[in-house]
Amino acid sequence: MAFNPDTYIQAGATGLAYSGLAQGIWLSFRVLNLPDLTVAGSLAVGGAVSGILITAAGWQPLATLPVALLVGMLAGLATGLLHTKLKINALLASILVMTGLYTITLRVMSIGAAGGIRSELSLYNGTEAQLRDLLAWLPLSVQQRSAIIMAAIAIVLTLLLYWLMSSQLGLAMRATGVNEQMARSVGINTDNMKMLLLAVSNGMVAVSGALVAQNNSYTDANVGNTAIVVGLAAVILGEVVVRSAAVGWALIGALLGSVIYHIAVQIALAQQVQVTDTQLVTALLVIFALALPQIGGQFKRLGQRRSTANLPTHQRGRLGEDAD
Amino acid sequence: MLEISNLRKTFNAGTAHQVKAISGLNLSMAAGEFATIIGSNGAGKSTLLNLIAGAYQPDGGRINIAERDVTYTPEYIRATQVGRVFQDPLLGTAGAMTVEQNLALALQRGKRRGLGWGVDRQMRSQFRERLNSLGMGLEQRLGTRVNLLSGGQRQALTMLMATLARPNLLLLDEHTAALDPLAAPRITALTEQIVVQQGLTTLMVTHNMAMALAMGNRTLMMHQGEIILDLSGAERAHTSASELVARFTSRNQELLSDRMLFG
Ligand SMILES: Nc1ncnc2c1ncn2[C@@H]1O[C@H](COP(=O)(O)OP(=O)(O)OP(=O)(O)O)[C@@H](O)[C@H]1O
Ligand SMILES: [Mg+2]
Repeated sequence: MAFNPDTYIQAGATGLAYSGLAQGIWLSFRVLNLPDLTVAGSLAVGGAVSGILITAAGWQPLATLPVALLVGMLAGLATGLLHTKLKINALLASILVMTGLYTITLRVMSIGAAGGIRSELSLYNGTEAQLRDLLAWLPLSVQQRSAIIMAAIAIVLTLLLYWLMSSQLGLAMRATGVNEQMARSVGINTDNMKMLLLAVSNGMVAVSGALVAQNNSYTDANVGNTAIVVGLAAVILGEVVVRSAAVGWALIGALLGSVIYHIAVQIALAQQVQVTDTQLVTALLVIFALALPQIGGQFKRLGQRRSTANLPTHQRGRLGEDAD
Repeated sequence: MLEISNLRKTFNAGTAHQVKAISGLNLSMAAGEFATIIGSNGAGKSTLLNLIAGAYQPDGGRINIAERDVTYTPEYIRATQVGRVFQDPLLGTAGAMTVEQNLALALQRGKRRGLGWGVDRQMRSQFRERLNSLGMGLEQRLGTRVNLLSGGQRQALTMLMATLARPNLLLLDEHTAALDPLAAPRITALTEQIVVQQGLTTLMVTHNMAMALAMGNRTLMMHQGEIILDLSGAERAHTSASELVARFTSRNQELLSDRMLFG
């Protein structure tokens, strides 16, 4: 097979479209410390909402993003309400909302469908506006134009998220995830912060779903099935690349991780790996990355038995360089 | 400043593990009073502080802070009036966040949190100044993650955070107990300095009898969810640590024998 750079540029564009998923998962998984499966449903419903507005209502693709954002935020809020107000376990709450969202996604997709319910939607049937049309004046390939648009949107979203997470509200949300007792004792309404963070996270993911649908000119109700694992893989790859827990770097890491992941998958596919095989490889990659601290810990314990690394954190300082 | 009447709290009510932690407790504290609390393990000291802070809901009774009934006010709202330092240095700070972020969180206590920058230059210079007064070199480490600090440094930071936005009430629960023999006296000195400087109404739990008499201007002894001894003024000044221990044990035995007779 001849090397075609546009294939990889297309993969990069896909990675950029999915970067919102990675950042959304970073928010719930790393900042709030909650396994939130709502994102699977938010990704699909975001694609469906955007797709139907473009095909059935003739909207401009860009204009559908705020609507996707809103729908995703409502989904996150629903999970947040179930978890904080009705005290339903976070994982279960998110599964319930995800399950409900599946029906909503199908219903949205089926608006105006001739034969009742449909579970997939083509976003381009010859007349609909497409995101890359915005750059029609540039003498570039379709893939290149898509990649530029996706990069621009991803950068704007990353900057907005950075602003939010560095604000007073952002600090309050982070404190809620790190130490809830401390957060309440400095006057933070931790329930509200959890709901807000889940809303923002799922809003990002729904926008990502809309971008993915637009980038592929196609969406189906099951796009969310692998969302968690793919998003986590991107987050973890990003952490390996960026190696900083500071908010700005973590957001950039998730973005880069998503791009790297999708280009890596493209490379694998070029080596005759089947699409279905990438799922197992991705799952193994995530398992390995999540287990790394444990495996690393075993090695350390063997190596430096008397080091302070094995003491509970509050005792470390007594022996560490900071002791006073 | 603080009025508590007939406060009651039972854990696991109606089960085999039922514990009457606070039973009809009354306490009144004037503004600027600094009371130390002693009492054996399980006497209800931490429960009392948690009830005052709103971390637990009482089964009955009333709590007023600054003339306002806060008995059932949620903890995060009450936090605008209450500063806390816990026994565990890990509890009072957000370990994965930096020194300046932690201080900024505390500075916003009781204010609306919006989309303005969480930490700005003006805050930084204020933090540097306050940290400088601790004499621990923390003013050089505004950007350090708190979980890289020692227990003593973390507790000093928590102390600062609890009092950065002046609270109506400061609650300290054995806040030097987990520290090493070098760090503990420094935090004790810092406590006195801050409490005296700001004239804070303070409740401090300790197991150290000498400290209970030396610090503050009032000493309360708790037993089985009640205050059984309330020392202040001349009476307190003339009580030695060993007398306090004696009263502590005799009172315990008295109550025990009562219990054997009538219980
Ligand atoms: N969350 C809880 N659930 C059940 N029982 C509790 C809880 N918290 C405290 N208790 C019980 O209430 C009683 C009072 O406990 P508390 O922690 O207030 O004692 P304390 O005076 O602070 O003791 P110590 O000196 O050991 O810290 C104890 O019998 C304890 O087991
Ligand atoms: Mg206690």
